[in-house]
Amino acid sequence: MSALEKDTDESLMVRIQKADHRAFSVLVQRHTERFYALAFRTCSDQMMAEDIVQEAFLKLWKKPDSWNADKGAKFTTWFYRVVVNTAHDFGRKKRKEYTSEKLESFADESLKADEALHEAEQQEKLEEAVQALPERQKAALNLCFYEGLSNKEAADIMGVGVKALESLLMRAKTALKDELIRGGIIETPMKKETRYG
Amino acid sequence: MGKDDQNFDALMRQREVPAMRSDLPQRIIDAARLQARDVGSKNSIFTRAKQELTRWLASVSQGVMVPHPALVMGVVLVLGVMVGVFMHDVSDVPEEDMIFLYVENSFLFEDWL
Repeated sequence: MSALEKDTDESLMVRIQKADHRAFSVLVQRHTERFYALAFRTCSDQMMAEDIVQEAFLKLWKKPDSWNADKGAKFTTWFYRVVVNTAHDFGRKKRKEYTSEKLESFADESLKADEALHEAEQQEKLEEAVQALPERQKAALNLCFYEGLSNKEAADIMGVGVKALESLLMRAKTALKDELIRGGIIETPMKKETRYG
Repeated sequence: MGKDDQNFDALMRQREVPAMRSDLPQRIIDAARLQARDVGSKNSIFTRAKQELTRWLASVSQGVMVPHPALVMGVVLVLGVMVGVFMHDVSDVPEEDMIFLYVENSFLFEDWL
């Protein structure tokens, strides 16, 4: 293990700002998988997610000064924002390029056995429901639910207040539940018995 | 958290993320290395020369403590002297007609008196 591998993300970023390619390599090896997962949950397409992560890391390499050490910004918090924004740009401009591959991958899944087919179907509907959410609701859901960030961290990344983030999360969950009930994936919640007196 | 919420959360956790291709980190590193080479070559030729020139001009302007109008006047004066020095024998008048350019000072002076 080289000495660089023990360095924190932030000290690697300082080295990258001085065009240290080895520091960049260490950072990429350390974080690619994590940010790939975020990118995939944003777009539901493997190739597109890989391209999003690559694009985000290349932005970092080209303009490392956009991360400001003086502000005490944690690298991962800052890079989440880069990935979310890059995914947003990809979603707007390039989604059509990836559509065919996405359909093929779902078709492959449907070739599995009956039980697996049912699961694949559920996954597909769930994925469709998530992808149908507005971008900001989807980002809030991914950051808080899947990345396990606190509401404050997610709000900082998205550039909104905590209250606004909580509202986005609430609307995302409500919309998802409605969609999944409509698709028959989950059952209608039982009405709670209300006792008076 | 109610049972419905728990079911919903469990379902959400089932969202699968297919493994990325194992060579993705290396592809990113290689792509960055190629870009570094481009940027590096540009830096050495244009950017560095421009930076050096800007730095040199800044140091010169700091060293010369002359207000701008005086600087301009000084430059014009020096240019005028140089033009005068190098252009003094240049004339459109042919040599045989040069005689008409001289005035008989002594004659005029006597006549006046």
